[in-house]
Amino acid sequence: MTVSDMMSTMTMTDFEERAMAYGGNIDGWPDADQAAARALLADSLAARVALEEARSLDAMLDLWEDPQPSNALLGRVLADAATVAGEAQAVRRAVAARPEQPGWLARLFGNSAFRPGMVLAACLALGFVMGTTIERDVLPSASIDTAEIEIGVIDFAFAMEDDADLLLGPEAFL
Amino acid sequence: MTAGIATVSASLMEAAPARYRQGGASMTETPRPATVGVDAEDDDALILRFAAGDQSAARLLTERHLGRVLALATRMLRDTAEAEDVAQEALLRAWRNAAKWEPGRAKFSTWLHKVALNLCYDRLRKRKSASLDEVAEPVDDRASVQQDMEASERLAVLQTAIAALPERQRAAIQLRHFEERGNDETAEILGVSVEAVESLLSRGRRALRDKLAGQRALLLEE
Repeated sequence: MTVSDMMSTMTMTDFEERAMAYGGNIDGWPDADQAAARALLADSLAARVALEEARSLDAMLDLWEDPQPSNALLGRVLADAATVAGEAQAVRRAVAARPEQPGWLARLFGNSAFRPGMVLAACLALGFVMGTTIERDVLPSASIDTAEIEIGVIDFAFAMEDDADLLLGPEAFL
Repeated sequence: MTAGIATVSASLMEAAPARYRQGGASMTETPRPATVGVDAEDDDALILRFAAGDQSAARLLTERHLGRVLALATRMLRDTAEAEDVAQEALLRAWRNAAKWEPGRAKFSTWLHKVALNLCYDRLRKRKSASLDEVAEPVDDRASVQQDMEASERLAVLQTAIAALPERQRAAIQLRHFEERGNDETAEILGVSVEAVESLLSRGRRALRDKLAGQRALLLEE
């Protein structure tokens, strides 16, 4: 038996499960299962019985035909569409009739009296942003605990004092 | 307006056979005309046309989808008036969201069914306790049923059996059996995995088989 043969085989349990889920028409089963199902069907009486049972259930379900939409319902749906379209058109007309308003930036910078001040403020803001960014990049260890630095400085000072004691003797500090 | 409705109605009758046998296809896709015209326009193009103010696009979309959405709601709710309300509401949401529609992002039909199904779930939730009381017990007296059962009564037995299924199993059977949608699309509408769709179908159909076992000869007139 080849690998493809092994992959394409279907157990009776799988067949019954597919028939129960998808009905008595193998064309409606998942594509991957159809060939194996037909192969089993050709050899197995039990498979034929299972398929026939599924077809009976299909036939019973088919007794419930789809309802046809009434004219009244069609009228309501199309009336809704007309109402929504009318509302949307009214909004479009209102927007088209409104004089175009400049954006807030244009309004702010467009006033000549405020323009120099606004440009200066923008430069300051840009400078602040650039400054904080550069500091972060250049001093990646800026987050070192300042307490550690203080302890290091104090240790260094005591060490210097001890060295001086050794070299000059305690009298040198009297 | 009346003439327009009559035209749509006639068109619906013509385009929608009792069952839609083109998996996942919209109503006009079954007997599609050979010439490429307005009818061949896809749903994305139509919804965009409607958003641009063309109401004839709404008429075409209604022709394609109203029947299926109504069938889904009817089988989920088993109440014609409520099913019509759901179908109307689902399409109203489509009209209202037309301007925001992004072509290619989702299939219109899938989106519309999802909306309709959620509306059905909402209604079922609201009437949960009442609906349980309303479900009639299957008829046990086989002899009397055999004598009296007319087509409408056979249908009532079937409807009762389907109505007794859990909501998601019912929806899965509607989408796969009645509409012949693919597993992927069914999964998307239900908001579950493809494996879960198979499980819902299998459990739902098995339950129906068991419920209808006693009625089989009568339903199928064997």
